[in-house]
Parts: sequence; structure tokens; C-alpha cells
Amino acid sequence: MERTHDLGGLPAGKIDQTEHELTFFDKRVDALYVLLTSPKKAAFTMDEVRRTVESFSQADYFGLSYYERWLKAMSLLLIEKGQIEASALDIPKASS
Amino acid sequence: MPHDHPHPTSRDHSEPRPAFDKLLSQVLAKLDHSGLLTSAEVTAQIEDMEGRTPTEGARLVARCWADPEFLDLARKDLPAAAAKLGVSMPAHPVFLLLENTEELHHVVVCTLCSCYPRPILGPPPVWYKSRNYRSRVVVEPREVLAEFGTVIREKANLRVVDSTADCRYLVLPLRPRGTENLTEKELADLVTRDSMIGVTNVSM
Repeated sequence: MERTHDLGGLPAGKIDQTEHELTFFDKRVDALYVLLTSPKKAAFTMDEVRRTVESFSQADYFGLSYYERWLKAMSLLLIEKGQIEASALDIPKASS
Repeated sequence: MPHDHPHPTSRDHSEPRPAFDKLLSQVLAKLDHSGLLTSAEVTAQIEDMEGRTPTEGARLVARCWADPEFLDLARKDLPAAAAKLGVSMPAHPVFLLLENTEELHHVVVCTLCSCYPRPILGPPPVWYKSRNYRSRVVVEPREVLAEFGTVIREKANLRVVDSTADCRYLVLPLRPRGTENLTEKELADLVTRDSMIGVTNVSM
């Protein structure tokens, strides 16, 4: 099983410290995540989102932005849980 | 190998692609239609998030420096201490205070993803979520801190703490010398986000 997310200790380069304001897209995905994992909504759990993100291919894990990853994971979970039909969503394939 | 990829986090500095914007619209419309999540709830949640910034953490740190009883409470029950400053924190996950001393410096990471004390610091900076920070800080913390302009003296211990989905940390930075006469507000103004993650110290 791929463990793409398990990065601790791997060789890596200099840290890019550029600050980045969250975009409106980022904020909405963030809100979606907080609300859908809240006890009140409980559409899925934080651990289920993690499990989904952690099962992404390397192309998706590293090719998507942070919030693109989370949106894709939540979309897949909403389909998995029967909240939304698969045909209603256009889920982008792994980025090139 | 994962480290062969040249620019793993570059997308975090750019606008989302149209295909993802479209997907988000589809999801939000479907959830609004089914009643699981209304657009008003999304707007309210965004407003809540925008109100949570490192200012909340800085007020907590300043109060810990100024008030030993408050520090004691923060050690035992960080959410209860935050509540005294009017900052609400959820019952889960667990939030813990990591106290820096002359002998021990803490730095926080989430090697598996991006766990962070968001109720008191807001969303994490992009570098905190980056592959390079997550990979390196656990094996070469002094080199990583040097990139942030921080030198921890050789004799001091440096402890790297890995956050999890169930437990998040706030670093209580060392109070700088010469701040005895400052007000709590003036102290709070000195405290930076990065010092509460542990990649920098607080200075006058």
C-alpha cells in the first residue's frame, strides 16, 4: 500500500515560506470540511477524509493543491455515503 | 520516489483550477438542495474562521506570561484558559500547551498532514502543510529553524512534537528579557504566529 502522505524523515529541499492568503475557494472548501465533519452534520468523519486523501495516487497527492485534495476527497465520500449520486459530480482526474 | 517531484506544493500559491471550482459549485448546490448544508451555514462558518487568527493565541501567551494562576490553568486545561479570554474551542481534539524554557525548545509539525490548533491560531500557513517542512523538521530541526532565522543554543534540548488528528499543540514561547514593565497588550503584540509553532522565538 502506498504511504504517500507519510513524509516524516524523507529527504527534502528548502522550505518555501511565502505567505498565501486563503482564496474564496479555499475558504469554502474549509467550511465544507468543518461543517460536514461536525457532530451536528456528521456526513463523514475526519478520519474518513484522511483515509481518502491518503489513498490518492502520488500524482493527485502532490499535484493537487491542499484544498483541491480535500474537495476531491469529500466529493468521493459524499458519493460513497450515498449523499450525492456519482453522475451529479464531475470529479477531475489526477492532474497532469 | 516521493522526493523526486520538483514542485509539490506550488499549487498552494495559485488560484484553484476551473474544474475544481466547478466541482465545488456542484457539491454545494447538491447539499443545499438536499438540505444537508445550506449556503447560509457555509457563509457563517467562513465568518467564524476569519475571526480566528494568531491574535487569539498571542493573547493566551501574554496572559500566561503575566498571570501565574492563568498559566497553571492553561497547563491543565488549555480550552478552559481560552474560554476565559472569550475564545471558544471544541471538546475534541485535545489541545495542549508546550512550554519553552532556557533548556528546552519545542517545535510543532504534523508529518502526516496539517493538524494545527486552528481555534487559537487560525488556519496553518502553507509552509506548515508543505512536504519540505513535514519531511525535514523531524530529522534536522536545527537546520530547519535556521531557515527561519532561529538559532537554539547547542546546550538546549530541541523537542519536535508531531501533532495528530486527536491532539494539537500551542507552544508557549520564552518571555523575552526586558519585558517586565510591558502591559499584557504590549506583550501580546510581540507574540508571532511562528513563535507559537516554535520555528521562531519572541524578541523585543
